[in-house]
Amino acid sequence: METTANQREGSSTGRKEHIDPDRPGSPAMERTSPCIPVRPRNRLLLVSRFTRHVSFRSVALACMMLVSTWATAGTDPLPKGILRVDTLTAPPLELQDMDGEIRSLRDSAGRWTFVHFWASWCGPCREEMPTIQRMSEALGPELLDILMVNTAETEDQVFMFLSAVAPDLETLMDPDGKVTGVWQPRGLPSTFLVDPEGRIHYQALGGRPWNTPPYIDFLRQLTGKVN
Amino acid sequence: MAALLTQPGAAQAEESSGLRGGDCVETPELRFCIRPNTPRQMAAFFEARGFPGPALKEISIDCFITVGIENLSDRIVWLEPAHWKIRTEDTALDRLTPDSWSRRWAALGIPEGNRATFGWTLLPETRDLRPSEPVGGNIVLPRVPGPFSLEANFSTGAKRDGEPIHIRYDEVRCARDAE
Repeated sequence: METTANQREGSSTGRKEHIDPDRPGSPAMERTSPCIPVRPRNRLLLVSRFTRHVSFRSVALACMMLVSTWATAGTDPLPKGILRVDTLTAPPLELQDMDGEIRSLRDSAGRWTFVHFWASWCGPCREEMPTIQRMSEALGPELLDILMVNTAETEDQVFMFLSAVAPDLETLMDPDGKVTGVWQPRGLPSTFLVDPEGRIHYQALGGRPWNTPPYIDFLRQLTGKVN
Repeated sequence: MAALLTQPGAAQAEESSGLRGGDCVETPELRFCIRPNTPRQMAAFFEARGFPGPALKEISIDCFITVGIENLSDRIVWLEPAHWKIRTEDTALDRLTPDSWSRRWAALGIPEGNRATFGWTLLPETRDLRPSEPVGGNIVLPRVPGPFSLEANFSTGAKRDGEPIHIRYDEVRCARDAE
């Protein structure tokens, strides 16, 4: 096919290129990020300097506000592709896993939960899935509950895919895609981070390299376990 | 075709719009790729997802073009394919919208799971693309034998008051199966 692409307003270079997503250095997945979150230790240091000039009561109040903000808003700046959303109660999520056992988001009450929607036909899902497995291994189940939801595929398709790509991960099955539809992800793959009270605070835009330091650090700080 | 295994029409087109074999344009604000797919490619993809014969027959009729986009700017870019202009020399081509596909699937009694999967492979009807956000999926057109132009128009800014972006492809053709 002979395709020409011209640019008009709002553009300047008009470069035309063919991209191989498997090529090293391709933009298919963000490998690193300069956005290393600030650790709380640094914040406490700032508070201790502050106490020289203000009353203990004011500082205590400031600390309480700081801790509250930290617990709900996580770190700042956020890793690339993590979107802070207006906090809202997560929709219901109750589905069978591949063994036919029913699992619910309510079972995760008291812990942060990583709710992830995916399908085997989606290239970014294939690329992202191993990073979720490695992230899960790095954080451990006591820190972050992971609820994977496959959208509208059969058990055979899911089994073939997961056994090859991320054999240690388990998934819930949304055979008619209706639960996925209720959650309204911005596409597949899509991840929501739900707090211990069942409220969504963050959404990930597309596939993310969850096993890399910016994301691991972010999740550790979010869930309260900081190195 | 290897790409078929992972994607014609993924909901997020090879993340970052790096469509394998796609024709890509990169501006300071946007990376934009298109790749027409043959009827056989599309039918093979959906057959592997368990779509029934009548659905595959429907899918083989039309012209599927996979689109991948990534917002490279630091502002919101609005994806609204309803504002795109697609036309042959003589005629405007109307995309087959998700609603029209829903009606087709309902008439054919296609299972809910297949309908959901198909829906996720279509390019979203609207999306406020955030900085660095990729998106992808298929647009579907009536199959035409000759070339057509595709002009993708994007509003920008949270209030859509930024400089618009226009990307135009000429001489696009629906992909045909090899004889």
